[in-house]
Amino acid sequence: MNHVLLASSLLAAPLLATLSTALTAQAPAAASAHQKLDLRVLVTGRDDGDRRTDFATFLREHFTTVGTASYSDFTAADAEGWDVVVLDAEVRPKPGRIGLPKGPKLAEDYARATVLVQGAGAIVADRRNQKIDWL
Amino acid sequence: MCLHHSAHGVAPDHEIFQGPLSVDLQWATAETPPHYRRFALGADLPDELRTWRVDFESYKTSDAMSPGVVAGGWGFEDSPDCEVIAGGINSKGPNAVALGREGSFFHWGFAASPSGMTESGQRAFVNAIAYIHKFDGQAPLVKKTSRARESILDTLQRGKSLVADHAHSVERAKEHNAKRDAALAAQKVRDLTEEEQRLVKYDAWETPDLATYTEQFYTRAFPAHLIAKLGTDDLHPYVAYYTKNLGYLVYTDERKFVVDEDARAFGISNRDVALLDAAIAALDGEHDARGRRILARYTDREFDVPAAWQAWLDGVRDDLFFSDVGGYRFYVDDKAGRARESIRGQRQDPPDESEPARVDFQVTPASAKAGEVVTLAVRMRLAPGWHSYAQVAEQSPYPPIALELALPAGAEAIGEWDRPAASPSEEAGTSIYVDEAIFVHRVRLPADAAGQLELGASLAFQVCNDSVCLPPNEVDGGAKVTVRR
Repeated sequence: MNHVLLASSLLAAPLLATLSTALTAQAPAAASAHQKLDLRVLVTGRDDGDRRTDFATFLREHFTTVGTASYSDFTAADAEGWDVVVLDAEVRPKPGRIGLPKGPKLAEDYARATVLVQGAGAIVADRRNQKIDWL
Repeated sequence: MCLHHSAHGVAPDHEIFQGPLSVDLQWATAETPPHYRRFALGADLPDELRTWRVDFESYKTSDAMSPGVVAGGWGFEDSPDCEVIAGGINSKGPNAVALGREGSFFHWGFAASPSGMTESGQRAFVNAIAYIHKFDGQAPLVKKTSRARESILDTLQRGKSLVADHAHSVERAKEHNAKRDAALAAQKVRDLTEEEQRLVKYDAWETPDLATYTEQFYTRAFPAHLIAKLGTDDLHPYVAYYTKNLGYLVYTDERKFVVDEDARAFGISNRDVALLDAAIAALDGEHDARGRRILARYTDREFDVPAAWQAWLDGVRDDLFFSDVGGYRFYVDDKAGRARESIRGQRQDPPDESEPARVDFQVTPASAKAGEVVTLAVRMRLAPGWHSYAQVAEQSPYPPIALELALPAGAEAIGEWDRPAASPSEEAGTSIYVDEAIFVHRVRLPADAAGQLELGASLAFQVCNDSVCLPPNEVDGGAKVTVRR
C-alpha cells in the first residue's frame, strides 16, 4: 500500500474527531412531538372492514412510511423492505366460533420485527410453538 | 383468551413507557377477579389491583368488541429473549401475559384498534413498534415443547377446592340441562333459536359423584407411582412433596411432573448449571453413570472424556440457560452471534467518501434482568476502498484498532473483546478490516440496577485508502439497555 500520511505524526497525533459520529443505537428518535419516527411499518388486516384502515391512519401520524397488506395472504417475503410488521386482523365472533380469518403461513425461520395484535396475532405465534401462545 | 381492557402487573419503567413518545400511565384500581384465587399466585393478591386502562371498552362492556388474548405466564421468561411487560384483567389467571416480547415478536394482546385505545394505550403501542424494531432478526431461542414446573402449583391450588368445584359443576349441569329440556319441549311447538339448537344438538351434561370427581383429579394431576404412595384422601402430602422437590422436576410424555432422582441425589436443581459441574466431576468415578445420564438429559452435547466436557462447559458457562418450556434442558445462547446479527439489522446511513468510517453501538438484548450478561457490540462500517488496521507489523506507523469499555458502576466486563477475523494486507504482519468489523464484549449488568443503563466504549482507529490516510480518530459512544428486576 502506498499511503500518503496526512497526519504529521500518526502515533503521537492528537485524536481528532474528524471522521465518524458516535451513535447511540436506540429507537429512532423523534425530535419533537410532530416529527415522525423514521420506520417503515407494514400493517396487515382483513381486506374488508375498517380496522386495518384505522391502524394505518393512526400509524401514519407517527411513522414516516406505513403500508397495508392482507393478513391471510401475508408471507415472509411481504416483510421485505419494511422495518416492522403489525400482524392484526379483525376477529368476528359468531355463536360457537371465535371468528378468526385464515392465518398466514410464515416460514420456519421468519424472525422479522413483528407486533402480534390480539387473537389474529397470537395465533400465528401459537402455531409456531412459540411461548406467545393462545392461553 | 378473554383479556379485558385494562392491564395490571405493569412494568412502568419499561422502555415502551419511556419513549420515543411520552406515556402518561393513569393508574386506576380494579377488583381482583375472584377466579384469580384459584391460582397459586392469586391466593395472596390484595382485594384490588392497580390497573392501567389500555382500551376504552372490552368484550364485557361492549358488544362491538371481541376478547383480547393472553399468553401463558409460567416459564415465559425462562429464556433470555423473553420478557413480560404487563398482565391484564383476564379470564385465565393472574400471571397470564397481556404485553410481552419473545425474540423479535411483541405480543399486544389487547383487542382494540387505535380508535378504541386510550391515549396512553395509543402512545405505548407506537413505542412498542419502535421497541420491537431493535430485535429484528432475532428468532425465538426455544420452541415450546413442554410445561413449566410452576404450573403444578396451580394444579395443587385447584385441588384445595375440589368439594366446592364439584358442587359448582353439579349446579352448572343442572342449569344447563334445564335449559336443554326446555328447548327439547319447545321444538315440538316452534322453531328454535340458534342457542336452543346448539343445546339440543348435544347430550345432557353429566357430573360424576364427588368420589369419582376427586379420583379423576388425582389421576390427571399426578403420576401413578405417587398416587400409590400418597393416596387420594389428602392433598397436603402432594403440596409438601412438590414444594420440596420443585427444583428437581421434569415433565414427562405422560404429562406428569416427576422428580429427577439423579439431580436429587446430587442435591442440585436441574436448572442450576452447578448440576453440570457436579455431573462432570462424577465422570469416571463411583457415580459415572449418574453423571452421564444428567449430561445426556440436560445438554445436547456428547463428549468422551471429562476434560472435553469441562472445556465445553467453561467455554459456554455465561451463555447457558435452562428452559422448562423448551423441553427441560440447557441451551447455549450465542450472545456474540446474536449481537452481530442484531446490529447488522439496524438501518443506518452508509459510510461514503465524506465520512468513510461510521461507528454504531448496540446492546443485545436491549432489555435484560439485573445481573444478567448482555453483549455490547461496536460496529465499524467502511466505505468502499477504505480499510482500517486490525494488526500491524513491528515498526509500522499505522495504529491498530484499540477498544476500551466504559461501564457504569457495578457492571462487570466478562472476558475480552471478541474481534472478527481480518484480511491479510500486502505488508507481512499487518492485517486489515474492509467493509465492516463488529466487535463484541460481554458485560454482566449490576445486580442492583433498574431502569435505563448506558454501556459505553471507545474505538480508536485510523482509516486509509490506497492513496491517503486520514488522521487517527477515537469515537466514544454507547447504547442503552433496559434493566428489569
